[in-house]
Amino acid sequence: MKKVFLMTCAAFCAALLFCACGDAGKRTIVISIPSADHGWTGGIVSWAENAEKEIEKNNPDVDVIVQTSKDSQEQANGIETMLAKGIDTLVILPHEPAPLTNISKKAKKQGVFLVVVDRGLAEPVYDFEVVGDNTGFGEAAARAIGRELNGKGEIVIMEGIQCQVNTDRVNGFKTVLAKEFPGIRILQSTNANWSEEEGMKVMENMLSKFNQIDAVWTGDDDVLNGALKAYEKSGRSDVKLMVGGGGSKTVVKRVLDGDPLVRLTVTYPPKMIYDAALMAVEKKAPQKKVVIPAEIVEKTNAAKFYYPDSRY
Amino acid sequence: MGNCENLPGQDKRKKFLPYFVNAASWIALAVLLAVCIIVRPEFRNPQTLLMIAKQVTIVGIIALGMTFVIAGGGIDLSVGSLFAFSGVTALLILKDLQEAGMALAWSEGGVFLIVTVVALLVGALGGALNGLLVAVCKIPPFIATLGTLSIFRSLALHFAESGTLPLRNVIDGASTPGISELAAPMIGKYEITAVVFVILTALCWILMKYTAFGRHVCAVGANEKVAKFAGINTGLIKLLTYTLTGLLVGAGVVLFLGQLESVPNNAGNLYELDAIAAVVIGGTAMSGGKANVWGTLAGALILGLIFAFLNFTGTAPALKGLVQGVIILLSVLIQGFAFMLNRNRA
Repeated sequence: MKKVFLMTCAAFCAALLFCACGDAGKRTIVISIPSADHGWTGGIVSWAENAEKEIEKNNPDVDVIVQTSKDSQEQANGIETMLAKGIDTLVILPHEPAPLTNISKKAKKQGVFLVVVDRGLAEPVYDFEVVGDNTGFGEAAARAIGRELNGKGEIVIMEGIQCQVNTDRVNGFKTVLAKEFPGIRILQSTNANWSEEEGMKVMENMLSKFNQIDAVWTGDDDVLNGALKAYEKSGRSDVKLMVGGGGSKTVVKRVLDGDPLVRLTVTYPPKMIYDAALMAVEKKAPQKKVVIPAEIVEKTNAAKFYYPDSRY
Repeated sequence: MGNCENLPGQDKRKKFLPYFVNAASWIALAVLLAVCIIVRPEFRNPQTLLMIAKQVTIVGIIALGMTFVIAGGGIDLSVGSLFAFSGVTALLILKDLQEAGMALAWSEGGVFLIVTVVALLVGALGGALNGLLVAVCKIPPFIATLGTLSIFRSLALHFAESGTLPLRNVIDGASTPGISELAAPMIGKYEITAVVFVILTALCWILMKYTAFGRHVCAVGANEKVAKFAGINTGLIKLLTYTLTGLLVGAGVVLFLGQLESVPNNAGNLYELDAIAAVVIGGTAMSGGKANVWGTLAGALILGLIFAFLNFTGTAPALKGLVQGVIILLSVLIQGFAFMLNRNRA
């Protein structure tokens, strides 16, 4: 029994070693990203894998490694391991800017070409960055909701996981609302952690707390899907507008089909990792800071944002 | 109250307190509920209470299984990952059957049947794997299920390609029927999913209190060596507790699909912590040998009450964890107080 177990272990280790051996002499590009812990990061993983396929197909001399990590610490360790192995280019979507700045500096010092995606670093040590506009994401949603409600109404906000991205979005949203739409009152700003299940539960809570809600901003399409299920089941008809964010195919489809409740969403495309990786292969970008704007998806332009084969 | 400790030779007067101790989690729940009702008007609406019961049903059902595992001296950290894996497998097999043109897979009842059978089967098999690792390979439960936590989650992500799998697949323009009427039953506008929770709790209580299996679980958890000398097949008992947990995870998946009609890539995330919390708040000792099945129901309801309380009071998102932690500790302290009271009098 023991022998069999040991032999299995040995075989397993051998297999692991075999897998880990990269192709010698090739240029290595590492794409370091968070693992798929919610819908949007799932989209990131999927687009990173698409980039890997695309790049390796067109550049036989390039080896792309997609590395996922569950937190900043694991991400830094993963990059450190790769640096020890020796890599040419690093495309990083950091969990958080600050904790990943040091390891990025170390990479840069080793002569690695560094591209930062989505949320920047504490110091601009990178060659170029491709970022989403989180403050703009909140602002765009606030303007759209303000416009649709004609500047009057009571709304509920469902925030994401407490982190810098979320803070920027919510601050952008609240600032625009306070400045441009003083007639709109925030009933409550609670959190649903970018989770469909929590979106449903929180919406159930909100529906029993408030008799009249005019609009809901979830800032995330997964949460929106959960909240919609709770609302549809409640049989209520007071909510006029529900806005998510991200641009997942299920929500864009609703916009495209003219759902009266989901008339618009705001993009924050996970495809940015794909674009950044392709630019990293060429080692050049249009400018040092490429900003992917948060765009409003409405019925008229939804077809442009609808990717039925996407996993997000 | 589902406690498998014998309390022989006590007169009537003394009998009250042990019951008090067994019911401590219910007392904590009552105190908490009273506070909620006083502080927030929403809790005065019976529909809110039904909603809370519904919201904790899935984690609560998993916690029932966890009660057996913990009473048997083990722990199962893999339930959340197994949840996602079981859900993903069920939906992918359903899709395969639909694409193969199976007529059954295109009716509401058929979808329900297929999803239920696959989810329960995969859940039970995953649980049995945990049981084998613990009982046969003698790996400490914490490590064994930490390993499978990682494995099941990874497999779920791999098969779902890191994305969200919808229940309603669109194949050749035709959309699959949902299962919400069957898996999320309603009476009028009341969702009665929680009834499933209560029925399963009653069944688990009978299993724990009135069967040899239940008594053996506690015996193994209290002292494995003694249980072995007493002729109990301790390995089999452990295997069965993990398999039961897996089976209940599968049942949770069916209810989840009834509510959300999809398996997101973060489905079941951190369920293990909520389930363990429900069990411990319910009065089952982490050290094993003792179980309080009805307590687990109370423990789950306490967790749901906290969730709603935080949303109703509008606690700032970053501070929710603080309030939640304090309430959990308080409810355990109330029980500790009851226990001490009992010991001093006895």
